[in-house]
Amino acid sequence: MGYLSFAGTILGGLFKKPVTTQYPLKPAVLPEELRGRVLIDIQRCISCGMCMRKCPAGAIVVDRSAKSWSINRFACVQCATCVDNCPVKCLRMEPQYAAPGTVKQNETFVKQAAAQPAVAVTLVKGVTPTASAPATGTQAAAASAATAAKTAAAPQTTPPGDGAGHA
Amino acid sequence: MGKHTVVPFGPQHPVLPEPIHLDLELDDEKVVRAIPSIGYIHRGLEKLVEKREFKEYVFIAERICGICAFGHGWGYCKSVEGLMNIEIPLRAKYLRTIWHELSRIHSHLLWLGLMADGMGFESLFMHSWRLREKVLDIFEKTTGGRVIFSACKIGGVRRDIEDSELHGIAEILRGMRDEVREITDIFFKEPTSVSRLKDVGILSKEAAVATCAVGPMVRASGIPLDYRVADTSGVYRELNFTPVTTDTCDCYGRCWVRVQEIFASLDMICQAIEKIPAGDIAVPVKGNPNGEYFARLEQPRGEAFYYVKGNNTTHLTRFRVRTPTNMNLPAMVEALKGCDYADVPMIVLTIDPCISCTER
Amino acid sequence: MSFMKKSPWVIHYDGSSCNGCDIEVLACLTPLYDIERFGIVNTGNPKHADIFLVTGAVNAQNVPVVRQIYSQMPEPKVVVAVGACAASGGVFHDCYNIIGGVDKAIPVDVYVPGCAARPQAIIDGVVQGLAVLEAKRKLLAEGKLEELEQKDQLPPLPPQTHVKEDQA
Repeated sequence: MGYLSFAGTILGGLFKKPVTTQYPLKPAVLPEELRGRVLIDIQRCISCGMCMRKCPAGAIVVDRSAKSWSINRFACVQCATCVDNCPVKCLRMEPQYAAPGTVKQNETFVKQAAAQPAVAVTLVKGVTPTASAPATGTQAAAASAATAAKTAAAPQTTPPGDGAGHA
Repeated sequence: MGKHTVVPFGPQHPVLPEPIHLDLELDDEKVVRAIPSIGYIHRGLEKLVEKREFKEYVFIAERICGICAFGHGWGYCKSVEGLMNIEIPLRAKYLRTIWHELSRIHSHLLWLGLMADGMGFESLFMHSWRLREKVLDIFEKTTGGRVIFSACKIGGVRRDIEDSELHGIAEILRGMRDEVREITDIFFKEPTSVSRLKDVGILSKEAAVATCAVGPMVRASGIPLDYRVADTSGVYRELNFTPVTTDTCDCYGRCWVRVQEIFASLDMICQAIEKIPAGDIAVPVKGNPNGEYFARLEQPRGEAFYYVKGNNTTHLTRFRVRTPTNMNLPAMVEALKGCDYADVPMIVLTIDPCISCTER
Repeated sequence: MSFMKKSPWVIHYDGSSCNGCDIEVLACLTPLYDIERFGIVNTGNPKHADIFLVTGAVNAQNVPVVRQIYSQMPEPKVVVAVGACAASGGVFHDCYNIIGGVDKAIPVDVYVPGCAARPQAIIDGVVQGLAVLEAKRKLLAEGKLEELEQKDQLPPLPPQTHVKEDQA
């Protein structure tokens, strides 16, 4: 009789644990193979722009001069093309998905300037250090390291400001 | 001569998951004619081949439709590989077949839930989508996505499934067989659902052939048209498989065909898991596509054609998809003639409409 | 959940999407991610709804439909754009008839990223939308209807739409 064939599931359902995941009260369990969002190890990035050219959604913007890599998480479709095509393999996908928001904004990562060699810097009073191109990454004038206001300052120099008092 | 009214159905309607507009000409309560208007999902993505390289276009091709996503990705890759004479490894073919049959199971369970919801049978909708989540968990672990998989690439597949995982998948599917049988038995024996489906939306054998219907629509009218039988390049030859047909020609028959296809697919995947060989999963792709090629695939909704044309550059010049719902819409309009007004949602859902496939 | 004073009803419309995000929205109603335990019901009538879940990068033919559904919803109302296509056009941003995201047709309050957006992300987005709904309800209770209508005003018709302004 067809009517009693579902009795097993119904009676079992009275005693078994419900299948509902208790999200958002308990955190989500995400398998590690899940393509959630793209993360970058910015220090290894060479700003070649390959990921920007290959992205089908146009979500990545690479600025070679500023050494920045920025992604619009609201346009990213998690296809992992950028991860596959990166020549230095500095991109990876992690299971945690990008969070919703009320405002669309890009997420930008900027490569920090490499550590400066231990060079004594003498600043002559009255001469303002010239603000050269930010974060060129070259080991050129040590004074330019002091004026790298956009990126975090290199370890040996004190934070930029009036440039007073370090020798 | 009854009262003649024209009732607009859609594009936004509680029973419709996608926007389609039908103008129903009614004579009292009987539908005399149905005039469809489509175009609400047309994105013109066939034109995007001019802007994306052929290796990246696979991500756009698989987003033609989220339900048949794997099928479109495979169809595009199959047509470009045929054009460039690339022979993919046997393990890749098996993996693609396993994913495609899993996609068929998830699509049919989805359709069953929507069909029951359209009828008002909400508890069956919940049970069938609960079972579908098991299939989606398998997809998540093996491809990285629940709905859009991005698993195919030109030359093979992007990820491998280890043999231990494959045996785990076979165990899950064997356990699912009894649960699916339980809920579908209820669906087919419940007097209310039987009375809403039997002898409703008749599409005779001659009408099915005349309107060129495909898929379960035509298999329920007694014609055993299934591309998997004719596929020479795939692995369906190695799997023991017969197409499911019946000749009731009504909604009940189409529902029955789809449910039997779920069981057939469960069987096929278990067979494929036993026969899968070891080996590579992809071959490198060199050169550019040149010429024309035509590939076919049996999607959950019917037979789909994929045509590509290249001119020896990194961008294809033409990509044309003929999807199954494209052909089933005229058959649906034919089946709507003479039915009751209250049967319209049932008939529309019984062709398993995928309007985003139709309009690309 | 103490921040919910009322069970919001949801209306869902597919604005030229591939259906991936739509089935994930429907999956939120199913037993695994059950939002009906919070009292959220999927209704088909815009006049009964509080939250409008839109998916898909809207195409030219769909713009009047989306605007009409939005206009039929009573105040206070919240729009949640689900998926990469609804937020910014996604992979289809340079198609010839795609306007590039839902916020070019109606004002959007919450964006949920993903392709297809996971049910957990959709639940997160709806919870954020509830906070916005609560703020709007306070405005309405204080009698500031004009301010609310100013926020919820429709943006101008995108250029690809081929109907006149009064039909949209």
